Amino acid sequence: MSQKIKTVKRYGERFQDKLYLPAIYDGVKVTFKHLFDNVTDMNAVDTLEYPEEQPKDISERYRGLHRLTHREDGSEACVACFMCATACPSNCIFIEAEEREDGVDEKRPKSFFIDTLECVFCGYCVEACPCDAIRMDTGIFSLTGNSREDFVMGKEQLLSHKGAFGEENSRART
Amino acid sequence: MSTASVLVAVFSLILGALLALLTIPVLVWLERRIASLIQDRLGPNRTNIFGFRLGGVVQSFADVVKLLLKEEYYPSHIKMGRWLFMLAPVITFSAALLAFMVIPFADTLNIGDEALRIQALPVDFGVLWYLAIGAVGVLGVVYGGWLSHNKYALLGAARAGSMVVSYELPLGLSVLALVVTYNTVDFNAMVQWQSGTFFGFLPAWGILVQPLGGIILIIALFAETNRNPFTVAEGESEIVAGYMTEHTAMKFAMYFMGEYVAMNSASAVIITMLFGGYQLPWVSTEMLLTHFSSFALAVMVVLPVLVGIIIKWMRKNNTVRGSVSTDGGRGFETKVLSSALIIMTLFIEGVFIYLGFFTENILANTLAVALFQIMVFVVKLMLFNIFFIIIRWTVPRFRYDQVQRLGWYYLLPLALLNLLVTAIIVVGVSS
Amino acid sequence: MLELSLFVILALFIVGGAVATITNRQPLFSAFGFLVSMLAMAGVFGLLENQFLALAQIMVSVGAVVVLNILSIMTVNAKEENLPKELHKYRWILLSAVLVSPVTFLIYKSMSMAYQHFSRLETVSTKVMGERLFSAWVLPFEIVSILLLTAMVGAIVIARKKDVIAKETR
Repeated sequence: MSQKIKTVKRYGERFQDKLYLPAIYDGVKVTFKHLFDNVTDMNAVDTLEYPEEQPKDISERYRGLHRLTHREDGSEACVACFMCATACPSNCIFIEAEEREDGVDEKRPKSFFIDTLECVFCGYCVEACPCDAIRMDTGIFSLTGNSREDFVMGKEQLLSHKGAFGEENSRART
Repeated sequence: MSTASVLVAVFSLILGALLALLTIPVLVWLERRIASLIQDRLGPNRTNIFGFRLGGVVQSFADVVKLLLKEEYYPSHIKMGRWLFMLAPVITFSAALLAFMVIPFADTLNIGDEALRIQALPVDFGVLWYLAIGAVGVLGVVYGGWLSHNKYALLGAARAGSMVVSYELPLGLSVLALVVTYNTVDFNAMVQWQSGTFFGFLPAWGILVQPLGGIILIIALFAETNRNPFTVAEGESEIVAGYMTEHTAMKFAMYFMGEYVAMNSASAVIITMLFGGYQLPWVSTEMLLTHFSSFALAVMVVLPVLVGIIIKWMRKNNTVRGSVSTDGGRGFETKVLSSALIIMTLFIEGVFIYLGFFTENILANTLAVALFQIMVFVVKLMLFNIFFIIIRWTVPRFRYDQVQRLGWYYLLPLALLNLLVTAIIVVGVSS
Repeated sequence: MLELSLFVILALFIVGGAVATITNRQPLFSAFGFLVSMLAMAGVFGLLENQFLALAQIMVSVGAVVVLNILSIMTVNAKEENLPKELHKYRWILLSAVLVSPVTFLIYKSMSMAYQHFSRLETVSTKVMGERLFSAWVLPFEIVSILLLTAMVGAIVIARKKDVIAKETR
């Protein structure tokens, strides 16, 4: 089996390379050009001045904060099947199920807590849900709170988040 | 001790202390800002006092407040020599500060029949003082590193110490060659020597008279101040923080400030010996004094142009992109600074009109020329500090054996050769 | 008055530094005491208005102490348990001070007569010193430089010996 031999060109043998000062001069030219261009026009620097400028590259697939979707009649689409809680690698979804009286489906969640401090925002719960009930398309990337309890989000709060992309209601449970 | 000499001595001392100490926050800010602008990002620009952002200089003051209020903490594994552990950064800082004090900021004033020096320490052996005191700074590094009882600190301290000691030789030899050329050890006389012309049209600056010696001096001074590309003492990716690892709070602040003061004094020495000190090229002090009215006219024309450029730049760039307020968020600060600059310009113009065209007061003329020279010195100092900073963010760090090879194999023979050739030329020219 | 108080302070530093040099177990602390002593002596030279000697003293002693420190860190690297025990250290020091005291007494007695033989010290500047050194005292200067050269060559030979021996026995 013949091998392809690649010869790597060696640098550093000429007198200019050993002197090193011409190399420094070339480097300083590049550096100084950046410095001069940025100083004369500081508005063109590629820095986002948060919070006055918000990021512009939040796409559809961005995994932001979770939200629970609604059915057409306004109730939650979730049937408390526990698939998302099982799939979650951080074990941060806590569901309690109860019966659903109005015949639309069999179960509904009595309480649905997500501990967003533990969440790694991987999206496995969205992939696991058979009802398109939980989505991460709110586009919210910044979470703040004053205590650890503020970061545990309940069912009402999750139902109230608005989606930034995608449809409003669940597509699997109408 | 006449009043004039006392006043001048006190003024020079205050000026020297201010220039050495007040440039520390400015240099910290400059380093961060220039580093970030080279890397296509903005530097510190949020901390402000009542809306005055001043480009981010307030960030340095915030750092100083933080370092002052931190808890003084001695790690418990350091059992012996705690007093020296605390004293080592003080040695570095005070040595760097003392070394700056013999640089002349303006020409000696000839008031009455006295010659008054504008140096914080009015001595006439400046070069010897700088060489002697500049070598004391490395002791703080070595002691601080050894007493930290920490492998990495010891490594950093030993490397820094041996690097500084090996670069003292080329430094001393190139300084010696410059002393032989200028025929004096007095910094002020050196600057005066550089006010003539060389080969007819070039300014007789040290870098043109002694190119090889000048380059060796600059490289050796980079190594003496532990500045990139010679940061073997605190290679941040190799040995954590080197000799500064166990020093916290104020001790770290002293090391931090000492490094910037050393960079400042190295820049000052380079300007004084190689780039004409406080003078403009081709123009000497007597020329300024005899042609005072044309000098005043030149200043009156150039100063408003410079101030106009600064105000235009501030209006364009001192804004926050995407801000919801109409003036871009920093309009108040721009207005206040512009009006302060305009008032200062008008005041200086008035003074120069009065001095240049309405009176012939020799004392006032001398003072005006001295103040102008101090301004030129400060501008050159800042330019050279910016040069140090640009080189830091351009050249990658040297490996330790490369540093030692450079110092002993290449710089030392070159410095000796330079000294030999200089001595031959000086003896040949003067005979 | 000012000179006297300055001299007293500097003399205290000299003596204190010397005592620290001989009584410390750790080599680096002895080196620090030596440095303090030398710097205070440079201050005394400055009091005597001899600029060149003061600065030369600082240059030489600081450089020497730095190299000594680095050498003892890198080459000797004595750990705390390998240092000599130094039993009854202060008794031996006191005994040697008592034995040396006749010499001290003689030097002290001679001081009151010695300074009559010194010429009036004019202000010695670097320029004057340089001129004298190269005209009237050039022979001792050259002898000292040969001495330094032999010291350097000896140091290099001692430092290289291990490499050469290691190569030959391979």
